[in-house]
Amino acid sequence: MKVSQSQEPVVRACNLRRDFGRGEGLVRAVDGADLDVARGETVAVMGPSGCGKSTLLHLLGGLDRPTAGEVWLAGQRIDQMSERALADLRRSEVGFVFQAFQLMDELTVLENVELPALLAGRSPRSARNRASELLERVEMTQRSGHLPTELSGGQRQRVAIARALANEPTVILADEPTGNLDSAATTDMLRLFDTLRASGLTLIIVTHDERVAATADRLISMRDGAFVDDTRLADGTTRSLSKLIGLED
Amino acid sequence: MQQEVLLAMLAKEPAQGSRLRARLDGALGPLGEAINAGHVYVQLARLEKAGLVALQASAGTPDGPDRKVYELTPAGQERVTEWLAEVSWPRPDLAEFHLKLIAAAAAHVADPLSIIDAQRRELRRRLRDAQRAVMAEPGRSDVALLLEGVVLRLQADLRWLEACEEAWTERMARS
Amino acid sequence: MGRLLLISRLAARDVRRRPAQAALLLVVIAAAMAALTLGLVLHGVTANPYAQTKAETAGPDVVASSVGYGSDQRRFAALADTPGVVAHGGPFPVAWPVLTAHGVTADVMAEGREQAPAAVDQPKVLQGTWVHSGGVVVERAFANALDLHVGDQVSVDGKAFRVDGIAVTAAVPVYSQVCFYGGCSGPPSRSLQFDTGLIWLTQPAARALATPANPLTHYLSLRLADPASAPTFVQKHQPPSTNGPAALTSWQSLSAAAATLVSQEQNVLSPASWLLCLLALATVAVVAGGRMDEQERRVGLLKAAGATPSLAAIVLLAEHLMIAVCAAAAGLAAGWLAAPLLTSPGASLIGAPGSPAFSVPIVLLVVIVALAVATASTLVPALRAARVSTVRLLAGTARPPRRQAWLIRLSSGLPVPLLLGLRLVARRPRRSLLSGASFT
Repeated sequence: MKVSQSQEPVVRACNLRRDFGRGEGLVRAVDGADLDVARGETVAVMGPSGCGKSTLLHLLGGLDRPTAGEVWLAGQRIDQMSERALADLRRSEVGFVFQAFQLMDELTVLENVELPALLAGRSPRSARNRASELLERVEMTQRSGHLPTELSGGQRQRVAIARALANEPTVILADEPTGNLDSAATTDMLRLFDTLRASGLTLIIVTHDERVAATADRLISMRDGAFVDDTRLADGTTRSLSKLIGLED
Repeated sequence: MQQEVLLAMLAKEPAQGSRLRARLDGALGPLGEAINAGHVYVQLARLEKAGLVALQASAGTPDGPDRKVYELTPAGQERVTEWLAEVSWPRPDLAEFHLKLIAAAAAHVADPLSIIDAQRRELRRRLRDAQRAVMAEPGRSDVALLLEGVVLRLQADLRWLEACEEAWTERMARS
Repeated sequence: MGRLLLISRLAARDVRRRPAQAALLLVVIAAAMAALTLGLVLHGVTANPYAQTKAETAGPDVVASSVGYGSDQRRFAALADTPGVVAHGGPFPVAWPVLTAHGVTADVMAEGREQAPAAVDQPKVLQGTWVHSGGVVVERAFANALDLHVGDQVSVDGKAFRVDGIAVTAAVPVYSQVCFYGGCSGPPSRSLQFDTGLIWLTQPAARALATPANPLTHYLSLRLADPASAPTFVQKHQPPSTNGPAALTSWQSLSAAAATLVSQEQNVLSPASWLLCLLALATVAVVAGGRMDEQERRVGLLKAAGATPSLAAIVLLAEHLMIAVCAAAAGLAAGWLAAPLLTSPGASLIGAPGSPAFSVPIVLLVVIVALAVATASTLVPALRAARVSTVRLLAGTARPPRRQAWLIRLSSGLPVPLLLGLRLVARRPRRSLLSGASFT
């Protein structure tokens, strides 16, 4: 039975394992994870520090090689791919937002955001236009000419997100994207994610923040490298909100 | 809801009950829907009895409740000033849940971890609603700010629940 | 197009971010390339210009001076008819006056020549004209030393002459070495006080300079049927030595004389340039080693943004290649400017260093070496780009510093600075080795 394109999971992991170190110092960062993420889904991954969330994300995005298991991205198996083929696939399909931003300090904000587009072979002008557009979306236009070192953590985070969107990816993998943002900025970011979701993007977000998790379709809890929970969140009703603030006598 | 809120609203100028109601709705948005329609008038009547507000003298016959115009008395004025300077804050009420867990564990009638899990799911559901409501509001409105407060407190409660889960997992493992 | 812009932008920015490091690399590679250039250029200066001069001036295979023949002048003249000789020039009269010009005094060997070109040893005029009445033609190295130009006035034994031309010859060693062959072949009664230079003038003028105390000598140039046999010829026909200079000199000796001028410099420069090259390599290695982590991280960042490993490597390379090309150009220029300073005595020969000796192969070789050095310094990160996962590259040091338990124990008894130093060295042996190597 042929599975239609839209039903094929856009990200898939089978029995994924990632070990670090050797012998006595062996650490199993990811231990037998199975995951299927459908197109357009938003998945939040939560768990205590050191439970392997970031490692999982790196594996799913082709930034790291698993010790064992399979990873499928956009229908292609990536755990055995060469670095070159991985680069090509990632460039067109994946937008990765790192916890440490990983911006290039010698380039300005605008140049950082247009970097993936230039790497993909777009003309300088079209890359620049796209970058300006994206910076507007994350409200960083007035800092276009600054260097990353001149920005605050939250500003850098927004630039990193803009950069991840440069090549119109299918999947966004975000590692603590609101970690450095204050409450208002977090809300703005969640609004942005909402619009991305509306345009059909698949989002996998590793987060500590319950608010971010609250906006996801699916919530996966991790502990010691393994999934312990995988639930879908149900909706409540607006009326119950007022109960929370004690307005009734 | 505190009576002092209505007093404060009258501090600038006298107003009709309907206007006060409208102001409240404006400030509370969707959360104000639960407030009873007649609630404001009941409160105003109480305040009048306590001597903190007075009906403005108006020429002509007293009309229906909608047309009454209230104003602050000097005592009311004083109360407003007092209230604005107060720093009391609603206290967190976590004792009940805390004791629930201990009781369940002691009596072996329920698994504390499942209780925590269920509570977490419920709070997450509420958080989802609150977060959605925040995002539905335009930018930096008054309502958005209030909803933000709701969200953040739920977030804090969920953090505590996570801590509870860690602690109780350990406790169950030891016993 | 976009990629090209990106590569140049990244290369330029990185240089701007670390100008001191880039400058260091540039200076070091340039110095090494300058030394390499000089070495290569001087290497080519030895026999070649002499051979070229000999070819262009119909240079002689054997020169004969009448001084060595003492009283047996007939034998001297009969040399021209010796079997094996196919052509001759002269005998030409030679006077030994003193020349004064621009306040400087020098002894000169003044050859009297005809207007018509000689069959053997016709000096090549580089500026001005050949001998005329009232004028002298000055040998080039001598002219450079005295700063003489065509049209200048000089005084020869008190008589005024004007400089008509500047020429080169293969028959006489270059200025300041004129007295090399056969000692100074001036008349025995003449003691020379200054370095001797060479001029040509008309034969009447030369004869007029002779005095009883300072008589004329004669000089004869011969061409042999077999030029390679010149030393044998010289040996065979050399008159018995009086306590004077040798009468006959082969062209091979003259060539060797020319070579000794530059070989001294070369003797110093060759090892110097090798050492400089080694130092350059060591410095580059240390600088590269120190930057390796940073470069790896850069590669990681690029890959994280979507670059293929080869593109990331090209970005690294572009910057270093830029530096290398600039360094090669600077080194070549420095070598080009410095070479005449070191070999100006050789200016008497056609093909002075700085022009034709500076050939395309030399330029290519220098550029290639500079590029190779630059490439080597980016090799490791570039290779790792293709093999190592992006996350590992981003993390920086892939290998955690090593910890040697036995060394810790051993060093625990030492004074604290020594203890720390030793443990730090042991943790990163490769880097310590590179730093140590550059100190030697």
